[in-house]
Amino acid sequence: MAVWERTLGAGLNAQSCIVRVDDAQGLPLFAVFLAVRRVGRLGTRVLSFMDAGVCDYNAPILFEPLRPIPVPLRVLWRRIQSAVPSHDIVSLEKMPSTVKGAPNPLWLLGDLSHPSRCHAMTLPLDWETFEREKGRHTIVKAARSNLRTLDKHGPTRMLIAEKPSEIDRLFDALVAQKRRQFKETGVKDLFDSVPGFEAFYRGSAGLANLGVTHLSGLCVGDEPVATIFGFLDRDYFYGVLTAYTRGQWARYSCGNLHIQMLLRWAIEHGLTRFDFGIGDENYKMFWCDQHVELHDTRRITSLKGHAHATLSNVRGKARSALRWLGTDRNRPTRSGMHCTGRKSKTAV
Amino acid sequence: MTSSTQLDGEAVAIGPMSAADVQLTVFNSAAAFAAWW
Repeated sequence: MAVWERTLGAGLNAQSCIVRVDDAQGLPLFAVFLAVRRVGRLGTRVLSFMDAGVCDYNAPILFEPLRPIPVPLRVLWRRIQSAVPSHDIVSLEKMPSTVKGAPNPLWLLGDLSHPSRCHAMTLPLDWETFEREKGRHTIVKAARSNLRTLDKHGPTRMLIAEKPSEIDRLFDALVAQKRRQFKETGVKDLFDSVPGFEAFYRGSAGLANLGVTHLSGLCVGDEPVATIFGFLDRDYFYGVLTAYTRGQWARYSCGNLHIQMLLRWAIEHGLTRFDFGIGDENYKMFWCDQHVELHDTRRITSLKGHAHATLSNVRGKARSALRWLGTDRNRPTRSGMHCTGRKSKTAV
Repeated sequence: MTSSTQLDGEAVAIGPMSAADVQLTVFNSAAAFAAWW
């Protein structure tokens, strides 16, 4: 949290508001991490989770012993809204229904399905079980074969960053690999476009020697060819950033090999769940047996909020129209003609 | 009844509203929350 405030929070000019909810006896029930930040030309104040998009799950911390909340959620949420700084829009995203098996007290606020889900793998008790269950699949066999080939280029191993110099070196490699991926896939470079984004992850990676975060690299000789950064929570691993290099190493599926080495490390260290995070990529479907639905909510609470939502809507439609005019109109149809209107577009 | 308290000059508590109710404390920084934690 402190790292978030220093980096992303400062970059977004966000005001933290961490709300602790106690029962009538003063015993804490849960704490939820919220922030109010100003967005857009109108300076619209948005109340959201204190993550600015970097968390895959947004849920409160629950305090033991777990107890039901003694007031209806709509009443409680109204009180939370009154207690935090004034805001024009409430935007809560990526809420799971449970927190480590316990009901998420804020789940029912989510009236919209988030576009993608989180995916996690229940880890077997030992590596032999993993080998028995997954060892015959092509993806695992290919990784074994690629490891043998990579070893011929140089000793291939997974380095887990512990010393500050190792953390710096692997984090630099991760940023370079991720930026290349952003560029190749046409995705906005978050390291460039989000103030404090790199500093947040670099600061978080710096906690690796405390066992809070985990940064590893698949190294061929001294060269990191794939990197994974994640968070550790007791026996859970949460993968957050994964990246790999291309060039001469592309044919060896280094990212896949690295994941399998990290899975082995997790199993051998007694972890029970490996969370691949948000996004419905195909490779996650192979590994994961748990698929977590996430909910969002977006509510407007003031006239300024309405104005902001209307402007955003108009801007979104204008952008789509411009994209259509700039790209689709010039796209050749199957018959070789260029699209000139909606009817032609549907014929592509 | 509504009451408010200060914690390290950073936090405000609102409530409780009734005997069977809940009490809210808002921390305005991670440091204030960590101090309570």
